[in-house]
Amino acid sequence: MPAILQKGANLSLSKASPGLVGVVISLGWKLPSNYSRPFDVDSSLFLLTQQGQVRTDADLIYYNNRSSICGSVELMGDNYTSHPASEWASGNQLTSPDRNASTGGSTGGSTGGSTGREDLEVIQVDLSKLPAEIFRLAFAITIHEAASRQQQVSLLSEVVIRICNPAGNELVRYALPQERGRETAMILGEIYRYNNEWKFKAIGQGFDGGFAALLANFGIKV
Amino acid sequence: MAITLQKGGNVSLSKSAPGLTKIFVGLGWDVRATSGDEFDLDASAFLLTDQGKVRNDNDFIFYNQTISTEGSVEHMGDNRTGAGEGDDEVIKVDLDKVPREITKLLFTVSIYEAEKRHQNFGMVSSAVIRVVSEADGVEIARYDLSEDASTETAMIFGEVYRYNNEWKFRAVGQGFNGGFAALVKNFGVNV
Repeated sequence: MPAILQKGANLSLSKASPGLVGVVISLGWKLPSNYSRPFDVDSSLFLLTQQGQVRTDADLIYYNNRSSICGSVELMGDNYTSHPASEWASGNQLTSPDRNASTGGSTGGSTGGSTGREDLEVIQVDLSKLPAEIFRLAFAITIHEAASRQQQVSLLSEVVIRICNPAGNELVRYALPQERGRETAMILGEIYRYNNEWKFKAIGQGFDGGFAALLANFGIKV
Repeated sequence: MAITLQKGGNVSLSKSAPGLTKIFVGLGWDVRATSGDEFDLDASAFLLTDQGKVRNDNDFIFYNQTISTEGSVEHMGDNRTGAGEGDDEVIKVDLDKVPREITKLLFTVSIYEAEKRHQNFGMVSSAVIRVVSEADGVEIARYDLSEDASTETAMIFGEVYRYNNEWKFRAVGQGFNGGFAALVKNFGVNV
């Protein structure tokens, strides 16, 4: 059984899975049903120092920069619809992500249809390869052109971040509560060093100002 | 070198720092960077008799009542956002001025309107409460609220109590279900 966290709570991954080196992080969400306009959601993650800032812009991993310089972080692909979040029952084996499966548009996002489609993006991290000065990995989702399309994260449902070991066993999960916020960028969770352990924290906080505000928060100038 | 106390652990203030008469409790946290209501943490103190109750409402020291009758406990001012470096709220204690019938000083931290704002300590960055020797700034104990009290909204941080003619500090680290109002009532304060 995975640990299910509430907002703000944390869990020691090192204790939950001693010797853990590789982790598979999935970010899942469900688009609103009966929604005819385009609705693009993207995943990103940030490699952060102890000050909570990136070292350089290359520490932002997203659809245009899929792996970190250190080789420890890789965004495997989006539009991962062959394994929607609902099929990820706890303990199920995760098949190896097909890196060629990404057929997303220019934003790497997904377009809403009438069915309330589910999406899942997968990130692989080798904790042992992370540089010592990287203390935190923050995982976020953003809505493309949120302002002009007047879309917020609160329109999504079943927004979930999951941490699995390489065998596909789910260690911890955080589901975003349905709140009526105006956020257009949302940090779902963070993996971070704490007293020689790796921990995970359920964040569930974001920015009304979207991707730009998220980038500014972590020290990226746009 | 600060001692990070386990819950229930205690340290003799008189022995660890002979002649120690002035301490302060410091509460620090970071201003909210994300969108939403500010995080407003409050440090408070209760002066308790050996019955574990206040003598009267004046023994509850908080942002609206910042100094005790005898001047032994003083809250240095409310901070509503966490703005500023280091300790954002400070409660100073002069142990020599604590009246005889007061046998325990209890320190709490709570989030203002936590329930309404759907907040807990884990949502706040770098929330730390500590007890410090005022003379030399040496930290006697600290508690990492963001990390170790993440799902709480109000907690008893620790207590300074008389024991065989000396003052001891005990780290309590106990969350309080029912919110801060229930905690305040529990010590005999009329709210």
